[in-house]
Amino acid sequence: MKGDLRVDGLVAGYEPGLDIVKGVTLAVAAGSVVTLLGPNGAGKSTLLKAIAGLVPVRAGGIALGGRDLATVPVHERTTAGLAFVPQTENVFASLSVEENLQIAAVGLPRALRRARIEAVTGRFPDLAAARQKPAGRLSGGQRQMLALGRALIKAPAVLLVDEPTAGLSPRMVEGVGAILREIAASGPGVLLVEQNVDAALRIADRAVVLVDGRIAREAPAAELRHDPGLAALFLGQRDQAA
Amino acid sequence: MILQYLGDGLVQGAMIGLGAVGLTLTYAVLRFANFAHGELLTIGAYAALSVLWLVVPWLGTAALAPFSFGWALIVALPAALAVTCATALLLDRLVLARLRAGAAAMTVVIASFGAALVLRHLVVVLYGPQPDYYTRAIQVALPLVPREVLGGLRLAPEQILVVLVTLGVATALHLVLTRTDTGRAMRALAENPQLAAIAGIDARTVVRRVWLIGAGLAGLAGVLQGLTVQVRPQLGFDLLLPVFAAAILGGIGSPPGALAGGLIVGIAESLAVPLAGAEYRQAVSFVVLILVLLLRPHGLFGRAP
Amino acid sequence: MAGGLDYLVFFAVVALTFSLHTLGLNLQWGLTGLFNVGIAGFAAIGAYASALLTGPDWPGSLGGLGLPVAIGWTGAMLASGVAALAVGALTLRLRQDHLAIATFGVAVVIQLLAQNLEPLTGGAFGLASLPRPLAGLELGSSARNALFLLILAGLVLLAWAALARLTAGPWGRVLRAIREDETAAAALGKSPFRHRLEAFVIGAALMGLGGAVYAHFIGFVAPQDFQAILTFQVWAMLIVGGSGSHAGAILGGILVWAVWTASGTLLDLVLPATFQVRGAALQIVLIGLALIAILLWRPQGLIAERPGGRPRRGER
Repeated sequence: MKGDLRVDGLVAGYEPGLDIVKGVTLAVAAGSVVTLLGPNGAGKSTLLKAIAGLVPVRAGGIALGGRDLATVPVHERTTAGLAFVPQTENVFASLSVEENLQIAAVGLPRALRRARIEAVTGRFPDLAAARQKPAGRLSGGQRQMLALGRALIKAPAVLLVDEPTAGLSPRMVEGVGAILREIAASGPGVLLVEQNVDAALRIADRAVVLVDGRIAREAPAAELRHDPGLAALFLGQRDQAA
Repeated sequence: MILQYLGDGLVQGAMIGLGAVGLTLTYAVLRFANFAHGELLTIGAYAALSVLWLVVPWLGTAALAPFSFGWALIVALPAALAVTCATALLLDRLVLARLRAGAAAMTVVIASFGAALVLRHLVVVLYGPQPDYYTRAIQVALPLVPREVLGGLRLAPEQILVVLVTLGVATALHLVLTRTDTGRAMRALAENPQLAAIAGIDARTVVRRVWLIGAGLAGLAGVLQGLTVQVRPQLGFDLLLPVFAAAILGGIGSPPGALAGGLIVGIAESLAVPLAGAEYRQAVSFVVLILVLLLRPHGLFGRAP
Repeated sequence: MAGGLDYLVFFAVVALTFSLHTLGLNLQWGLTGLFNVGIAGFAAIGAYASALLTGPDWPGSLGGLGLPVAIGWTGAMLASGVAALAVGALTLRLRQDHLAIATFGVAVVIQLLAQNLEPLTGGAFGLASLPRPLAGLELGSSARNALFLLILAGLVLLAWAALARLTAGPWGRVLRAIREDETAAAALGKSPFRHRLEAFVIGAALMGLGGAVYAHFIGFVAPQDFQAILTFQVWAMLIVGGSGSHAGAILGGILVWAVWTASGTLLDLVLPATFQVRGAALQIVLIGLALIAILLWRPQGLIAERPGGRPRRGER
């Protein structure tokens, strides 16, 4: 599936009157990795969840490949080309690895299902070895693989990933980064929320800095890697360079 | 007489188990304790009765040996299940679904309690308070084990049928839950509704199917109870506590657990009869319930928190 | 006109006994978030306790002690309170829906005992000839009923005042603190479990009193007066009146009982006498539907103070 993600002036929040995302416009092109950075409470995860349909949107639009997603219910967004990997509880612990993938494949024609599941287990050999294992007994890193694998089954146009490196060792962080770059290279756009700024800027092509629900800075990742003003943004000071 | 008590307990336990399996599914997926579940058993039993009366003029009352019932009841069964399922779906659509989504999760429990009251008394309005039977033919207990062995065991063909049907249905359900998309979706929805939505599962469809299966099992249990005991308005309500006890003993969300729980509760109740008298059967369920909640609230096969 | 007045007094007495039940439930659920589906059981315990304490020596049963009504009613509160203590100690740490099932089980067992422990409870027929308070006074039946109403009204006002003092004072503040943030309250040395247990016991004592008062008014106690329908009636009364408010509880009791008796009278007029059993069932069906409708349109009756809205420790 192909298509760019466009978010236009998005305003969203859990409770009416309390907006967390206060007007965000951004685009994620197919094949690119965009990372959302920002201090705690800036609204990065909320933005992701709003795009996924889990947080009520109060204003603005979400479009994928030109198609407006506002009226598409959450469970239909995977078919529409949007896949979301939450930070926690992102696999069905009581179901096996195989069953987790089978659930994701519902809706695809039979032959294609097998092919897609095999593609995922091929990409993540750890999962192939643990097919019948209940997902709850996987290691943290393996669980992350499964969560990503599940999201890839329907060949999404855009992959939303919320803090995939949280709780992982530095070596696994590298591994996840490589996988995300590889995924992007094979087609989809990736919108990534990351607290680990270092890792994020190495994985991503572009970075969007969110402060207090609004975009404070947007630039190619390479540019921000060596930018001293970035830290200031995180600490809540005004951005001089913008 | 121990073998006889065990046998009787097994038969009653099978029916409690069927009811408990239906309850555990709806409890796990819909996330509330449905106090109206007992009435689904009652409705199943009475729906079968009504359809039976309708078809007897055509099919007659001749019994199919070795059973006491004939084709009429066999034809009435699927109709009864359909009525039970329809009732459950209607109840959910009109009352429960709206409250399940609300902020106060316990409102739906009280609503289910009230709905149970309404349904139970509606049965009295329509059928009157006296008990009824599917057939006037006598159910003859067949000697299965001679009296010299632990007091012997005699069971009527209907009772043996109950056990066989329960085992068959339980196996079929297990296959559905583990080998089909619907079954996997149910298990996923029971575990994490938000992740299920993200993963592409349409909750409304799954919920509808859970009601169908839960109500179908309840209706079946009701008909079997009506067949082996009697059809009466209190049928389901009197089984509600044993069914809850069985489901919690087995671990909410585990159908094999609910069935095992049902058998244990049924046998425990039966073994208590010589000790405390048949009137106090439900007290046994209560004791089982309290013991489970105190010692191991997640039950035999439930996930420990 | 005297007949009409008599009817009104009868209505008011039963309504106020329901108000006592509802005050108890309001304390348990409205203010403490304890989901009691066994109200009928606690009311029955109080009623039977009072009957056994004050009743005459019935033939074929263990017999009553013939003590004054005041002792009977106090005993009723004690008995229900002790039962609640036992049940609560075992079940109050459970999550709400498990507490609901457990209290439901209590009511079922109580009903079972009432029906079958004949030497103690008189079985299905119950225990009759229960005395009225101040039975020594020579009064006509209308005046006697009016006196009863006066005493009961006094009791309800007393209960209201006591509860209001309790909830406005330090105890009530702790209860609210526990509801808002249990861990913080526990850190401050306030035991959430003990406070919940106290609320549960006091609420049950009120239900026991309500049961006893009702039994003494109609003159007998029998199992069929304490069935699931009573539990649902009290819940409906709390919802209609507004959970969390003492005055609301009293008002809800009166309102719902008014609707109940009105519908009963209406059905009696409309249906022929032969349909008595089915007619009574029909009344329950119609009222039940009406109350469920209220639940659908006024669920905030249960969440006025959001006691159960917040998931407790260990809950899903």
